[in-house]
Amino acid sequence: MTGPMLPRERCDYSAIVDRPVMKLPGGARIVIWTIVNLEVWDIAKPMARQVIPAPTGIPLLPDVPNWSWHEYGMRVGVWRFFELYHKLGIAPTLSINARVCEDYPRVARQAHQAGWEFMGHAYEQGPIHKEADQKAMIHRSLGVIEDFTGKRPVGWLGPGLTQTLETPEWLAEAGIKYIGDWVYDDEPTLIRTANGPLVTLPYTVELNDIPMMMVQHHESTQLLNRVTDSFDRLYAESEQRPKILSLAIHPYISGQPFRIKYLEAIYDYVNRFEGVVHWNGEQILDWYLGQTAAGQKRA
Amino acid sequence: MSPWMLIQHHKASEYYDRAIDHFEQIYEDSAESARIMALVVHPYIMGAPHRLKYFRRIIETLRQKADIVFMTGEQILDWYLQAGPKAP
Repeated sequence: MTGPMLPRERCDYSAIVDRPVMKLPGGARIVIWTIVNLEVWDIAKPMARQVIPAPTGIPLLPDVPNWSWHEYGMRVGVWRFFELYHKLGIAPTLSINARVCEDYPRVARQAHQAGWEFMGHAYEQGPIHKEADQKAMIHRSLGVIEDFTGKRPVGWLGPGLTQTLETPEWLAEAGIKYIGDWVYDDEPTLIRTANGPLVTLPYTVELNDIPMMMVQHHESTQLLNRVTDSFDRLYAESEQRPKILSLAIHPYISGQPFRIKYLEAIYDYVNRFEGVVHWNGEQILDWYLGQTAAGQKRA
Repeated sequence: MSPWMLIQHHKASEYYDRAIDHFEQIYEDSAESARIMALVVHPYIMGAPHRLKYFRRIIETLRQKADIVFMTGEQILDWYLQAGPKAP
């Protein structure tokens, strides 16, 4: 091999209708995978996103208004999430910049104590293409989380889902087992790396409050409408094969007072159906690996 | 509010819907500790004929509650400095 693999070389094309049907345990039909994203926006850098542009549109540093917009999520919004998931008895996956453990230990500790899964999400927010030493950043990120929680993450989501062609190699080398960056299927898949396979889990850029609210600028109700529309379809299809519905949220967006009730209403809706389970990424990974091992034994 | 109408391009009624959703949540939160709701408007945006009624309806709705007050920034400052405890 002369260079890094292209995405197409990491996995063969596979039509979902051609695959063997997997089974969820206990008669379950659909897995809800909730991912809460926690980030650090360094005031010295341009902010990851802007809710309000500078007058005349000239970006200037420091960008205090957008920094403080994000900071609201850490001070207030995330506590609405903690209350909601405590009430529901659900422990989501936390997609967490490792620096959150250093800058916001109060928040990280709360998530850890509530049993949330920590998924690697870079050291701080910014495209991975700009990392001078990607391998070192990945090891640093996983090390900081491991020191904080006592457990090395098995999952990874690139900042803004960014990867370079080499990233899967570095992730597998660092001990990562699953990634969320490939949103190309309803089911988990296996991809090749020079350092062993990685599993892709069906993370989402559609049921995700950043594209929906901050890029597409939908009304607050759209979160509920789009998720329940997806759920209805996937639930119907789950009669034939198990489905996973992922929901990705950020405390500075869905933790706003005018949006939180629509997030709450999503869980009120889906929990009325039989065969709905709430799993974190590692649980989906373990189930999938068990299914593929069983499939290989049968074959 | 300029993000809301002129950047996110919501229809005028979204100003009312978002404000009332916001109010309902923090009104509930205020059972435990006082809350402040800020409403920002610009005359060239919310003062336009097709938008003004949604702003007026917010104020009409909020005024029906006996336990809310309307304050200026300086009044909120003076209250906060007296009321404590101070957040870091």
